[in-house]
Amino acid sequence: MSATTTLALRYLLRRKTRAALTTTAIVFGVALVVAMGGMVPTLTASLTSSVLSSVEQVDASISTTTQAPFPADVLTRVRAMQGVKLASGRVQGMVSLPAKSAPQLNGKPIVSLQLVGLERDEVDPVRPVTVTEGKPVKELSADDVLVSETLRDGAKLKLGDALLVPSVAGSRTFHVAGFVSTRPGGIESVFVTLPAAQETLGLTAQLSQVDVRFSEGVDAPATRQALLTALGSGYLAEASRGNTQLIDQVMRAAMPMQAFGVLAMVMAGFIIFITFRTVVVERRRDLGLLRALGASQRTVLAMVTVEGLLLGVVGTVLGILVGIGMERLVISGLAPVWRSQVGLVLEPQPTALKTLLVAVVLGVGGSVLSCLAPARQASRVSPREAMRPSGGDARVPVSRVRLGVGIALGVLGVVGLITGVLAWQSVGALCFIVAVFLVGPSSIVPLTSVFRRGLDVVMAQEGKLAQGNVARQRHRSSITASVMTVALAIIVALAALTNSTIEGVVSQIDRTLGADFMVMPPTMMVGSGSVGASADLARSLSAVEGVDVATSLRMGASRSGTQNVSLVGIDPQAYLKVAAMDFEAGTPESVGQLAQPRTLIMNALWAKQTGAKLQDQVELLTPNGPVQYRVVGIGNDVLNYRVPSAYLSQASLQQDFQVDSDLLVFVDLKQGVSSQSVRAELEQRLEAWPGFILRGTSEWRDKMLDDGRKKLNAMYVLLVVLVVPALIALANTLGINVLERVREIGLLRAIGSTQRQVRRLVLAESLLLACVGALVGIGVGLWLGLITVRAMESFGLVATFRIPVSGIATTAVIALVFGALAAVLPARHASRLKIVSALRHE
Amino acid sequence: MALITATQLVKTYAEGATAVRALAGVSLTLNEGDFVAVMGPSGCGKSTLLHLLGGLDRPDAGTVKLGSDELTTLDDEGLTLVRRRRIGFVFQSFNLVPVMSAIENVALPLTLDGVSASVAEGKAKVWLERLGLGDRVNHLPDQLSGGQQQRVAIARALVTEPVLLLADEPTGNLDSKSADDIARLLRSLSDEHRRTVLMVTHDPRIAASARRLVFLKDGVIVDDQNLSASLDTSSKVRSQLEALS
Ligand SMILES: Nc1ncnc2c1ncn2[C@@H]1O[C@H](COP(=O)(O)OP(=O)(O)O)[C@@H](O)[C@H]1O
Ligand SMILES: [Mg+2]
Repeated sequence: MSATTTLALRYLLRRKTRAALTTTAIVFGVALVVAMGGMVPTLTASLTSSVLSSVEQVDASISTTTQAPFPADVLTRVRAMQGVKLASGRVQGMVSLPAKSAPQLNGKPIVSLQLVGLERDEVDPVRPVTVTEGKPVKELSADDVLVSETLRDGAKLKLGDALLVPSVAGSRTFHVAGFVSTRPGGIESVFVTLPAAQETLGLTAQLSQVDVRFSEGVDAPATRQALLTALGSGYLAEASRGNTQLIDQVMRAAMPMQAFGVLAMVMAGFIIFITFRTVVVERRRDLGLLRALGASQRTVLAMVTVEGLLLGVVGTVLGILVGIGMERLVISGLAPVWRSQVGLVLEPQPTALKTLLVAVVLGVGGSVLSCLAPARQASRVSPREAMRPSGGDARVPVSRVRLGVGIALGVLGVVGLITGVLAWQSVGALCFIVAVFLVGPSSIVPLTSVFRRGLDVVMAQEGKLAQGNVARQRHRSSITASVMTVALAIIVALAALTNSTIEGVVSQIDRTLGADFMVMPPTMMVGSGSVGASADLARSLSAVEGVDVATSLRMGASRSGTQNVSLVGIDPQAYLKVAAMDFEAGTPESVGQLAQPRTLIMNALWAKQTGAKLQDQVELLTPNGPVQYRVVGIGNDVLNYRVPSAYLSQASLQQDFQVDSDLLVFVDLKQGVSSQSVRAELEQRLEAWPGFILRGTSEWRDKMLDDGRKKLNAMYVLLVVLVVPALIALANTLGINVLERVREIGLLRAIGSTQRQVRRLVLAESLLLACVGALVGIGVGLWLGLITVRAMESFGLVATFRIPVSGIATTAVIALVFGALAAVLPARHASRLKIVSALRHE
Repeated sequence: MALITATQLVKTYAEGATAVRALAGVSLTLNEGDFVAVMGPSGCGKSTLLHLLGGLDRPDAGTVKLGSDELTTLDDEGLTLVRRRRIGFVFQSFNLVPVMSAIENVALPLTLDGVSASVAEGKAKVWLERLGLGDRVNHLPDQLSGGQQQRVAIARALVTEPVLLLADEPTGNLDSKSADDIARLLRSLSDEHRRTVLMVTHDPRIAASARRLVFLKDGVIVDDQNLSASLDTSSKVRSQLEALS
């Protein structure tokens, strides 16, 4: 082993606790990245497995690109094509089962499953369904249903049992006629005859998929291509990528978690940086000595970098293991929920090589990168440092240039903030953060004196000494406080962001939702594929005494270019009676204009992504190929702001996308009618529609608010973890300060300080630094929060900037608690020093 | 024969608004085999002079010539090599690498130079034994007494067979008995091994073991004399020092 590596290793082992803590930070960051990255293949596999497992047996599987249903005559056309031997059509849709009568699986009700309609006489030769008990598909009658063996075993179903399934007409009862062998993975499906499914799902004369077998000896790829050409651009004729809309949704939900992993890694990088900065300070004399003895700058650089590398490698390896463990744990916890809510099986997939690579690059690369600057600093330590009499580093003066640049950047930052222009505010924030680091050493002393006043109340003596110590080590102190600043700024920014989002959503609900009641399926997760209700539901509700209007929303899916777009079908005449929109372009009259064929209102998110303006033509992909729609407005309502969406008339939705069932009904009462009096009657009408539940709008609003708050609280817990590195850094600095001041502490003890007083001295210093860090951190955090909220607005998302009072309070508490926690070990160490040997300490 | 020649060395430290002139034109020549003690009141520039002679720092003006090399013209890499191969340093506070054993500390200048560990430790062992530490080779610095640590430091300074040994207050942290031991050791290096030694000290008793005495005051040399080997040197030096300060 070279002298460099030996030294690096020995130095690391000499401070085992610190090495361990620093490694923990890396482990944490890498583990999150691995766990989150690892979930993705599992989720995707789960979402695609049903499609993949069905495709492998057929030569081609035809569906629309958006997974929307298409006219049944496609089947006739396919059968007539050259090279096609057999073809069989099926229709499928998600149904939400009423929780009361839903079959149980492992103690949890299955709230949604896929209803599949099969062509009785054609399916088996093309894509056989293996029935292990009961009637084969061929013999199914209109009210028969086949269920899987898993469902049979889990829900204890017997032949002849009834299964209540919501339908467009309300509900329909099927009887279990047989059991099919369970495929691994895939959505929990039940099978009925094609006409029964079409009726239930409201997809008369429509299909979701056509499975095809080619004649012997034909060129399969060429035939598939020919099929596609004949059908047009709206279709897929291959192993489909599965439900891309669903995958989109899942990915969108997974993104913040991955961002969290990266954030944790950034914090880890930061703590490595801090650790090595302190390492350099602590070892100044050793480093100088090495240089005096003839170690080149490069040797010193290498030594410190190797230390970083060692930590990085160990941290990454452990992090990957922990991450995989975390992932398995989350998946095993998630699987039952996923199963009952989404109806999909989760099978852990091996972690993708890409994820592992990212983890290694982030973990090892990040560690080395973070220690580079301190390593360079180490290599610049003058050999004369070795000759200094003991007593740590001399007061390093703050360079005027640094101070000047810092102040200039700070001023620029504030000017940027004042401009009110998002771009400048963002640049300003960056300037300000750099400025905080630059002016830190000069401003830490005046800042601490602000808090010392407060501290004086409880510990006057210690406060004074502690402030003196901060002043003596202002570089190190300011770095420590900056770690606190960064960690707390992240918390405050996220709190501001969440708070603002909740606020934005709730105020939008208040502005845009005028209806008194909403009637909707209990879970809306599966969006476009879900079974809806026929117009009868709305009609039946509007007939209730006291109801002014009942108007519905319908949901469809399309694609514009490569962008998935959700479609919302409204009644242009009635919609504004129950709801309003926040218009960015256009007026409420735009809603009326939707009555003209092929017009739409874009939501702000989609408009921002494409840069579309009023009267522009946009292309939407339908099962019959692309069609042009004219933009008559750009606006949001509360239900559709998170994904790119478009509002169009229900007539357009039916004509181009074959959607004619309602997914949500708004009910608005006549003036002066109390909701209490109507509620019972509405509930009673809904008994015929077990797939729907009634929600009062104000209840729903409160529930959204409540959910938001709960999310916020959960986030604080997660965020505390982010502050842990700050804790480590603080403890680190205090520990080194104690080491450096051994003789001084000995003196204090010799002249009569009690152990308790020494402990309080260390505590006072820690609290001072934590308070300064918190003060600046809260300021920077609010700033960052403001920018993020405004950035969200500019992307068309809904948010209204609100100062998170509870977030700030939490932050302050966290700062104080962590400040005190960080002091525990160093304070103990300091107070237990043996006086005589401390006095002799060189 | 001149081993190292310093000419008109000037060094100024800027400390905030004020500037401290640590050396104000010092010229000094050391010959091979010299044993020189540099004395003077605290803050007169002794350490600064030693730093400049040893290539630890650069003068603001003046030159330092070691053999045929002009140190002020060398880059960091060049100076590093000079320190590594041609000069040995001994410091007041021992300055051993705390995470290395005695023998590893002594071998360090050689291993830094790419010498294999076994060869380097072989040489290190020879020097440790020569300095009476044969039974302490594997001890860590904090397991050694101050005098022992300083002897390890001296062994480390000598292991590369440097042409010049520079010692800054080598006895400053030692009790008087250990200090005498170290002084005698340095003298014997000069007498028996023909090393050139320059030692900074403010202890007249220690200075008395040298063969030549240089007095520094306010950054200039005020006296430079050879000592006779007579017994009264110590008191003579002491009175000289008192007169000067
Ligand atoms: N790094 C430095 N920065 C500022 N002033 C210094 C520095 N090193 C030495 N000095 C000043 O230069 C003068 C000479 O210092 P030094 O050579 O260490 O004196 P001596 O070793 O004789 O006690 C002193 O006034 C000292 O304060
Ligand atoms: Mg000195």
